[in-house]
Amino acid sequence: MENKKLLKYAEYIFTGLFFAGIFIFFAFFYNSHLHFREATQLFLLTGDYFIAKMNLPGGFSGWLGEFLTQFYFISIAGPITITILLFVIQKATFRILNTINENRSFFPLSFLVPLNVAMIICDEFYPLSAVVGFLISLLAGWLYISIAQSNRRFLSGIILIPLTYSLAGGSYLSLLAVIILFEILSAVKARKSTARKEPDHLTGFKMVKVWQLLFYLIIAVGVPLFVMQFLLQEPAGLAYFSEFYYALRTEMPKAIPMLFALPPVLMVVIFFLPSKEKMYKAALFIQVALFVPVVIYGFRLWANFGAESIMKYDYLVRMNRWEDVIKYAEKRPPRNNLSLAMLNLSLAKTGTMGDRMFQFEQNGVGGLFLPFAKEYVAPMMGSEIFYQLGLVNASQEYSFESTETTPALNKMVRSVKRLAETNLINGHYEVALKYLKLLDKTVFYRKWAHNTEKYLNNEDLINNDPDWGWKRKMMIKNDFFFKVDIMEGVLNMLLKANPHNNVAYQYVMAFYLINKDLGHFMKLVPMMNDLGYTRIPVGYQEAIMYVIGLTSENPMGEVPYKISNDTKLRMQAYANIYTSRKDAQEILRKSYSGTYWYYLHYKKLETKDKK
Amino acid sequence: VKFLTGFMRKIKYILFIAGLILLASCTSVPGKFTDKGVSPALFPDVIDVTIPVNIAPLNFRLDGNVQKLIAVYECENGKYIFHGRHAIEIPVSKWHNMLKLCADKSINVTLFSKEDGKWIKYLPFKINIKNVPIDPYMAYRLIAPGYESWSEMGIYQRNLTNFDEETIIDNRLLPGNCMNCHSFNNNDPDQMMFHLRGNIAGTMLVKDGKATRLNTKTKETLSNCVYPYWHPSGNYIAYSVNAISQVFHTAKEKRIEVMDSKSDLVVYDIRANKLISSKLISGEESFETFPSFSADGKTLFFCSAKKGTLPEDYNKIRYSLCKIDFDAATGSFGNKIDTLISSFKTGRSISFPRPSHDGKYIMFTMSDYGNFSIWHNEADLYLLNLADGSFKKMENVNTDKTESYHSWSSGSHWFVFSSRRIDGLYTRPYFAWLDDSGIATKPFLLPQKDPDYYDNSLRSFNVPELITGKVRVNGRKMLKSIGADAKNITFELKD
Repeated sequence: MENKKLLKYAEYIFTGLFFAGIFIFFAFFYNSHLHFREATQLFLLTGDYFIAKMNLPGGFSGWLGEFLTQFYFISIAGPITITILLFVIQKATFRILNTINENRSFFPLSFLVPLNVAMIICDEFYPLSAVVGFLISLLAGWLYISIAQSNRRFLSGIILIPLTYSLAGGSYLSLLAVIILFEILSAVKARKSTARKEPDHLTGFKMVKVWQLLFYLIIAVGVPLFVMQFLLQEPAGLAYFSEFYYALRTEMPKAIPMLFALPPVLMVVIFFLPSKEKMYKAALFIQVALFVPVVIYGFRLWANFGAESIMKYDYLVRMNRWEDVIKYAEKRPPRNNLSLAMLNLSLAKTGTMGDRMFQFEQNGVGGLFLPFAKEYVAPMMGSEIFYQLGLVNASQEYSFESTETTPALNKMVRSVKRLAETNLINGHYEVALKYLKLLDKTVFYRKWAHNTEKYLNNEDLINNDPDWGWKRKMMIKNDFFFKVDIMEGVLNMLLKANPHNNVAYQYVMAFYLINKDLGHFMKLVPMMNDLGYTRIPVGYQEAIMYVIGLTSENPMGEVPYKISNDTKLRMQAYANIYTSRKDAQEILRKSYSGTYWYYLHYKKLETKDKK
Repeated sequence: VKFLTGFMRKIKYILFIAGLILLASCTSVPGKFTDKGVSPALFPDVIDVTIPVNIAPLNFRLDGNVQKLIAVYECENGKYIFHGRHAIEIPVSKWHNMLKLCADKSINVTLFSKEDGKWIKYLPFKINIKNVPIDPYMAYRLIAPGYESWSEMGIYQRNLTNFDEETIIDNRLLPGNCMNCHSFNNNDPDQMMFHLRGNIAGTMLVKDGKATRLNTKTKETLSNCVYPYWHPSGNYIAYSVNAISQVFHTAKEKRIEVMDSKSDLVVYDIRANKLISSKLISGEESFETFPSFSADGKTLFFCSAKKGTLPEDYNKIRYSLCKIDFDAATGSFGNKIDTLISSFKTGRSISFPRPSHDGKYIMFTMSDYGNFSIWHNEADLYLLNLADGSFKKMENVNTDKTESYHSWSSGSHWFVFSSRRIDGLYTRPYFAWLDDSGIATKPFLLPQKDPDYYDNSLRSFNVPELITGKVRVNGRKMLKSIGADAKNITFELKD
């Protein structure tokens, strides 16, 4: 009795800790991934959309997965959803395992399944529909094993297998394995307990007949074949596994069959473990002790905190939280061009690019603009840069490309929203309306779409809008062909179209500074007056002082620019170290790595950056 | 038992009353209404259109604060009433019964809408029925009107007499691949070709139920074969070979420019498995593209422009409509090129010359410059009368948005064409009737069961081709040939 209570408490504490951990992980350490997933799907709450999904094997899990994913829009909703789904997965797994072995000392084994699922969805290519689909198969398995009478079980089996295939796709294979193993292991166990004259819950269990098991197999093989032959033109892999477990249709990673295999494997494992009604403290302790390294190893293997950081930058930019991007960069500096480009954009939007960009490690032109490489992340983020620069067509192009390159052949709500905006700015109201009508059918973008519809054909309203009106003012009038590798020309054309485009000005100055092209940089310095600068940004001061230092005998004296004394003194100190110490780079890195001088002297440029 | 009997009696009574109400509401028009005196703003626009007797129901919706719709269809031989909430969606069989009844006549349609609890009557309109059927199927490609990438895409076929759509081949079956330029010989679904691009590149030729994958790139030609047109004998397919590139505009008026920096013509001799060409149609000094054979197969029409430097001269390249003789018996070309419509005279550029099957006309697209007219808002359809050489803009079918690709139905009266008139971006297929004097009727949009279909669709209808039946050799049946090694082709330059 005492042991039973202890076991119950252990189960409660373990369950509480596990799911609290899951929730905390997705809420506080992996939340940007969830936002990213939400923005990269377009879920329409319409009957047609539901029917279109239901026409595909596994379509219901695809639909439900997307339905639930849309709530990731609210930061806390994603972690709650995932935690609940994993909780139900654990319960279903436990029920299935408990039928084979009633000893609750092995309950931690049932947590391996939700743990595996939690690890898998750390990869953004595994959608929530994979979780939903897998859960459906477990619930179907749970239902199957709960039917005592063998003929009824057989009947339910021939319904559940194709039904699970239809609703959940590939996970029906997991159900099939669970069903077959349940029948065999239960029969063996029942026979043993009868022989030992130790009746248990399986005593009197009657297995379905062998031909009935074979019939299950025939259904499992035949139904997808039928679908492939007569209903859908799909490759065999997709016909069997369906398209809702992994975003890349051209491959099916091993993790999915392994996930499907886990419940049946655990059934076999637990079958061989002792089933006497007592508590195995040592076993319980070993399981819990082993669980910790499994969790650590698993999340190390699956969680991608580098990607999480990029997605955080991206999320903050998408929300126009420019100051927060910079604050985040101060804590977690960009580690690749995607994050760096988002940081540089935020600096430009806050008007601090000239002051602060070299405080963060720059990486050539690649950190300013993102080239398009037939995938969806760089164009999606790159579109933000062009949009904020006022390059509406380029932003539109990148947005369109990103939605066309999403791996799951779906559309992205983020792109559709951007396309509505770019068409609105360009005055292409019919197309803008088309996109807005689609957004009208979403849960979280409906209000925005409805409000934006008021702007259609209303020139004054658009022109007076702080965002869209500004983009109209900055618009390029004299057409030319856009290419991301001719950004110098593009930026100069933008400035020519509107010399008050301060974002473009900061970018063109950054372009020249990053390329160490101080000749062109100096030519544009006077433009600051037209743009209303009251002081010269620090980064520009450093570059100007460097140029003056090259040509003037007394750079610390009077110079024709408003250079602060602090900059002059810092330059003097920098120059002293630079000219007198052999290990200058080491010393300068400590105090001057955030200056343009340090970048100029020590950052090696790739040739292509000079384009 | 008593209670149950009483209950069932009540239920029957309720059902009977409900039935009566339903019957009354199904057969009557509103007794009281306000005559609005204007035509209804329907989508799609079906007002005063001319349709073939075998077309699918022309379902439509009325936007606005509409609570209920009643549409009364009347012709001399009968009357039909249909109801809907905000749309009229007519059952296929009832629609066809009505069209048969009213064949070669006009149907008068009176629309009543309930708005803010009150009935409104709109001005009646006509739907004119031609008792000449259109080819019952149409093949087309669905793809997003994008830049360089594509998501879900494929070639599909639609039964025009109802709403059934089937996949011929798509990239669900061949992930990562692209398919384009489907073409049929004289609208025959059993003689088809299309190109595959991607990791399984090649040209799929389907003839007599057999599919073959061809490698159409030879060392003598510029590229793989591109824009096709079958010779009526079924023994040849004319192609252009093009060095195609695209660039993207920065100003708001335009998005994309697709251009050829080089292009020539070749003819694929199916029986000999070789490409043939002539110096006259593959010269260095000119760009030749969009070949098409005359109905009798004796002439090869094509577009030709003086060579230019691209992309700099992109808006100066203008294509004329030309022709050269072709002898199908020997597979040889004539020794001179005739210009039918000169770009020097029109100052504009021609693409997609498509001869009618009766040999009377060539329908073509004319835009300000270049040949990729789908990205040109100013692109319109024109008709060349081959008897007298005159040509004219087809007034009833053009809009201020793009009208581009087109294909004739077998009888040379019905035709389908691509238009971006709805929103300026997504290409949709429209159909119109050309009468004996070369005048086209007001076109109608490809009917869909759900009138909201086009709002929700994010893919364009490319290259609509009318066909006389269903394509039976679909992607699944072609898989073996797609997977097999592509058959290489030889090249011969004729004098």
